[in-house]
Order: sequence, then C-alpha cells, then structure tokens
Amino acid sequence: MSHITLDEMGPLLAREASARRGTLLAIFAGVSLAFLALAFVWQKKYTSYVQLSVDDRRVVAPIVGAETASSSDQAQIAREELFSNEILETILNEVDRGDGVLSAIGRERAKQDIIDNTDVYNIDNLLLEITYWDPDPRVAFETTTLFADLFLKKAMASSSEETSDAFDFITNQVETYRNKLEDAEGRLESFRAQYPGVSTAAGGLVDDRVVELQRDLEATQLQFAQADQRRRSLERELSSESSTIARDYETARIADQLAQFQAEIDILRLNYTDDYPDIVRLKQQMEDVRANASLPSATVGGSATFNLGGRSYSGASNLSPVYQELRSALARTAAEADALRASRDQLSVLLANEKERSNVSSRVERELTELTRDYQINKELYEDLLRRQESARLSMTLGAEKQGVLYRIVEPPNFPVLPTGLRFMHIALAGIVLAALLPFLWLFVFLKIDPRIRTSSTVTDVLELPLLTTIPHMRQPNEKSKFFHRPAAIMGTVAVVCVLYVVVFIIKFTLEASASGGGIL
Amino acid sequence: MTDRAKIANVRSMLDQQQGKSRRRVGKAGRELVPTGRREGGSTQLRAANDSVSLADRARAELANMEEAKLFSDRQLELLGIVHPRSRERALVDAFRQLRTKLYSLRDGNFSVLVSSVVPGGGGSFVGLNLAATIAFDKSKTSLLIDANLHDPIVHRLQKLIGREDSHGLLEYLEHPELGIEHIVSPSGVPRMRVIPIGRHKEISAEHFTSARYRQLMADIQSRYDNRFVVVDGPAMSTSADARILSDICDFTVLVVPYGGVTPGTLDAIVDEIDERKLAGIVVNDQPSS
Repeated sequence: MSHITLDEMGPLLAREASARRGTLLAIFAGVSLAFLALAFVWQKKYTSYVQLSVDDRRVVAPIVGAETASSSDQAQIAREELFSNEILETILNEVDRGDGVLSAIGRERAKQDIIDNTDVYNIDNLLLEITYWDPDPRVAFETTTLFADLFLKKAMASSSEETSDAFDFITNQVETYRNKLEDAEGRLESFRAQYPGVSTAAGGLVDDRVVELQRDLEATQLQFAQADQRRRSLERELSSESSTIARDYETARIADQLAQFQAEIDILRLNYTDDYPDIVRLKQQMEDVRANASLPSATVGGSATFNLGGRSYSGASNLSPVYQELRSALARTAAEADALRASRDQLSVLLANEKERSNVSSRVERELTELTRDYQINKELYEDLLRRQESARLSMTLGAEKQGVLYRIVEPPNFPVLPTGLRFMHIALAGIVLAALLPFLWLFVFLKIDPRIRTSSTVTDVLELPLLTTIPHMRQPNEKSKFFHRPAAIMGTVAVVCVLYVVVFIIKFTLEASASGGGIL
Repeated sequence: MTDRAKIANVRSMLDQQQGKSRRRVGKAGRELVPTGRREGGSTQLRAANDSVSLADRARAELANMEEAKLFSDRQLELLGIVHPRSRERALVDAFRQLRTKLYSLRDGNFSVLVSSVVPGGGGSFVGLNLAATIAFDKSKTSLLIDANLHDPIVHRLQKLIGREDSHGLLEYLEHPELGIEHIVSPSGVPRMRVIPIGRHKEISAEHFTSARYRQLMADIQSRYDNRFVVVDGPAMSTSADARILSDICDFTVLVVPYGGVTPGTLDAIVDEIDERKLAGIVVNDQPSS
C-alpha cells in the first residue's frame, strides 16, 4: 500500500488519469461495449407463478399421531416431483415452445432449460410457490398452469395411498392391543378370586395397626414396671412399720390418759383439797391406768393375724391407721400390677399376629398392583388407538370425497404481461455508469496498491527524509503525444460508444416490435 | 525524447546556422595536450602551466568563455535545459526552488553531487538543469562535472558547440601534466562551465578515490567564491562511484523518478550514504495534470 494523504489524492488522481488517458479510455470502451453486447443478447423474462397452500398435516398427522416430518423441505420434495421425467415430458408434449419437433438431445436440453427456469419456494411453510420464466409470456403461462395441474394430481394420488396405508396399520395395532388388554383383564380376575378381600388400599391399614399395637405394648410395659416398683417399695415400708408403730401408739395413749386425769385433778385442786372425793377417784383411776400399762401387751386387747403378699402381719399393730393405709395401698398396687401384666401379655400376642398378617398381605398387594397397572396401561393405549382409528376412517372418507387434499391452489397461474428482471435499459444504463466509473476505480486501486513513490508525503512522512522539490515533466517542443492521448481521440471514442448505444437500442426496439407487436424495453 | 534524438535535433539546427565547416575543423587532430587554437605548441603550454599564475589563467579562460558560442532558447528547450525565459513556469520554478534550498544549507559556494537512485531516473537531467539554474543569476557561475562513467552526457553538449576535442576528467586524473584549465570548457549556457568525462577506455571507480581528484575538487571550489560545483554522478543502485563521490562533495541530492522506486529501495540507498551530506530528495518527472 502506498502512502497517500487525503489532500494528495485529488491531484494525484488527476495527474495519473491524465498520464494514463489511453488505458482509462480502453477500459471505458471495453466495459461499455461488453455491456452493450450483453444488453443486446439479453432475453426478456416473463415470469408466471402459481401458489399452492400446503395442508400436509391435516390428513396424515392425526393418523400417525405425532407431528409429521418438518415441512421445511416441502419445496425440495415438490421440486423432486415436478422435475420427474414424466411431468417434464408432458410439458414438452403439450406446450408449444416454438422450436418444432426436437431430437432426443434437443428434448434433453429443453428439459434442462425448463428445470433451470423453474423455481420452487416455500413461503412460511404454508404456501408453495412455483414460478417459471420464459422469453415468451404464453409459454410461461402454459407451463406454469401445467406444472400446477400435474403436481396436484400426483400429490392427490400419493396422499390417498398414504392415508389408506395408515388406516391399515392402525387397524392392525388396535387388534393387537385388544388382545393384550383381554389377557391382562383375565389375569386380574383370577387373582381376585384367589385372594378375596385384598385391596391395594389394605396395606397401609395393617401397618398402622402394627404401629399402634407396638405403641400400646410399650406404654403397658412402662406402666407395669411403675406399678411393680411401687408395690415393692410399699412392701418394704410395711415390713419396717409393723412393730414400732404399735408400741408408740399404746404408750402415747396411756400418757394421754394420765395427762388428762392430771389436768382434771389440777382443775379440781384450785377449789378443793386433795382429799376431795373426785380428786381421790381420779388419782385412783391414774393408778389403774399405770397398773394396766405395766402389764404385758399380749394381755391387752385381742391379737389379729393377716397375710399380705405372702407375709403375715399380726398383733396389735393392725390398730395403727398408717399401717392400715399402707396395707390398703399395697393391696391396690398389687392388683393393678397383675392387671397390667396380663394386658402386656395379651398385647404381645396381638402384635405377633398382626406382623404375620402384614407380611402376607404386602406380597399379595404387590402382585395385585402389578396386574392392575398392566391392565390400566393396556386400556389407555387401546382407547387411544380406537380414537385414531376413527379419525383415520374419517380421513379416508374425506380423501375419497377430495375434501382433505394435500395441496390446494391459492393463487392460479397468471398470464405475465410485463417482463420481470433486468431489461435492455437497465443493462445499458449500468454499462454506461460502470464504464465511466471503473477506469477511475481501477486507477484508485492501482495507486493504492502500487508502493512506488509518487507523493511528497511518502518521502517526508513515511521515510522522514527532506524533500527538496518535485520536478514536473518537461515537455519537449516537438514532443508528440500518443494518438489516444489526444483530446480529439478521446472525445471521438466516447462519441462512437454513445452512437453505438443508440444504434443498438434502435435495432433492438425494431426487433422487439416486429416479434411481439410492441414491447417494453 | 531520447538524448540521441535531442542531439540530432540540435545538431541539425546548428548545421543550418554555421554550415558544415565548423564540424570538420572540430574533428582535427586529437592530441593528449590541447594544441593550436589558443596557445599554440604543446611545449609552450607546459611552460605556461608552470609559470602563469592561476588567476591569470582564469582570466584568460573567462575571456575565452565569453567568446564561446551560446545556445539559443529554442536549442536549450530541445536539449532539455531550462532557461529564465522558458514558458514552462512550473519546471523553472521547481529548479529555482531546488537551488534556493541548497543555498540555504550553507553560506558561500558548495559542491553538490546529484545522483539518481536508479538508472534512467533523471539524475543527469537534474544535475545539468541545477547547474543551468544557478547560472541564471548574473553574479554566480556554475561548474558541472560529469562524473557519470556509465552514462555521461556533457560531451554531447560539447560536440554541439564544437568542443568535442576538449579533454575531460578521466584524462586529468590520469595525466598529472594536464591543468584544470585544460579540462574546464564552456557549455553553451552563459556563466556555466563544464568538465566532460573525457576519453578513456578504462572505467574505474578508483579514479575518484585519488588525491588528485580531491585536490581538483578543492581547487575548483576555492578558486572563485561565486562558483557552485555540481557533480553529475552515476545511479546509486548500480555503482559504488556515487557513494565515493558523495564523500568528497559537500552535499548529495538524490533524484527519485516519479513512480519508479519503492520506499524500501530509497531507504536502503539513503542508509548507505552519510546522513549529514544528504541535502534531500528530488522527485523527478511528475506528470502534469
């Protein structure tokens, strides 16, 4: 890349363009004449098109169930069908292409032409557009019409075939699933007969009961242990209480009596002397009591013996209230403990039974669940297939009545009046513009790519050397410029090119007018 | 236009002016030492060389110069030499600019080597015209030394003014008996002298490394304060002479042909010469728009 500043570009281009006038003129003439030739031989395009709506899913999808293969290659499928030899032959035979009877090679070429001029688009997966262009609008229209007709016929045939195939398949499937379902039903019934009363719901209840019994048993055991402990401590208490409590009680009673008598005597003594009869009597009584107290205890009161918890309690002790209370508490506790033990034993037995039952029922339940599941699945599949069979039957009926067709013409083929695409005018204009621009473009690119020193900035900026001066070309007095560098030659060439354009335009226009009675260029 | 064609043109014009006689005289004997025309016999000349002072000789030479034939404007244009009355203002101005820039580099006179970067780059053209432009000024003179062994041009000018028999630089370097005044000759342009390359078979760069060449350069530069020496050297890319010549001159001007040299080539050549001596670059032959 050469170094050219923006300021230098203009003068540089002017200088170089002037120095290379001949080359630029040659490029101009070459490009403009090439475009003129192209414009002359360019054929007008008359494009005819037809739009078909694609109803692919409506028929096949409900039968097979899932979404059918993506429609993105719908155009590709259509193209393959359209370009089949059969359709192309029909078109060649029926459309007069204006080239008479063709040889075998000619026919092949004509077919290839048709293929080249035909385009099939897929618009939003909904519409299929078939376009065909030809220099002759009539041929374009007829070919497109024929394409659409033949394509529809072919698609219809393949569609009904597809539908009946699908129906047969589904009918087979329905049969298979019915057999499976019946089999599952039979097995379930025989199982129910073998284990009456078993339901899939019982499993949970048995487990609950086992847990409950377990909890009860543990609670009872705890209560029994408590009662037993209580009984033992009561027994210990009772055996230590029995002797001491009885003696204390007797002594205290005598002392009470004596104190009572003494109190009465003291009260009487406030008013009377000691020989007052009441005092004497009271003293006598006190003496009696003391005398009684000094006698051995066996002689006083009756003796009683009773058994409790395998131990015997006897003597005057049964007269003590504490002792009596202890004894009654012990009796209660013993009874309670016995009851709890009996209950615990009973619970243990029950729990063992329940566990046994739980084992058996879980195995049976598993089997039952399996059978039920099998049955359910078969049932669902069978019902689904039945539904599809029904819709397939409907599709078949619709297909037979041609109401469920695959493709439907949305927009019928048009007769092209105006040519499409590039025309003579476009090409000629593009030719002139390009021919004028290209030489300068070439010059610009050449100057950019060529690294040789042409500008002062290359010396001063890139190489950083002092530039003394730039010496212009010295023109010799008798120096002769090249022929194509002379202004007259340049103007002449441009004029010749313009005249050629006009001449070709007129020729083309005349040809068109004579061929089709007037056309738009 | 080629140099050969230019010369043919100018020669035909001269012939018309002077008739054929002059050329025949010019082709007379070629001795090593100049004879006849001015001083007479060769032995006398040698004696004169030894005895006459430099100043005297210079004065005599100047007188001779004044007598020499000058080119007309038309002839100069045909030869590709600028003159103050030229209608190609841009070209004349470019050379004036070059001259002024060189003046600004140094007070007093100087010697400058003008050499093209590549052969055919117009080094001789720029050198010749630089010398001619310096001579525009009536108070200055210029001396163009043709040191371009590969493609000398000055002798062609000399032929046109009938001085083809004058001795040249190589002869001077070979033969100590020759004096400066024997090789400095008029150019056909006012106030501009030339030293042609001379006739010598052996083309060798060793001449320029000799003390005699250094002495010559020193002498011709110091003889007149207002004389500017322009040395036309061979292309830098092909010859080592240019670098040797550059060492002896005060400045070096590199001539780059427009659109003929890549920056890389120029950079490589600039690297080889003394940076202090490089006066600058001249881009030559830029096409007009």
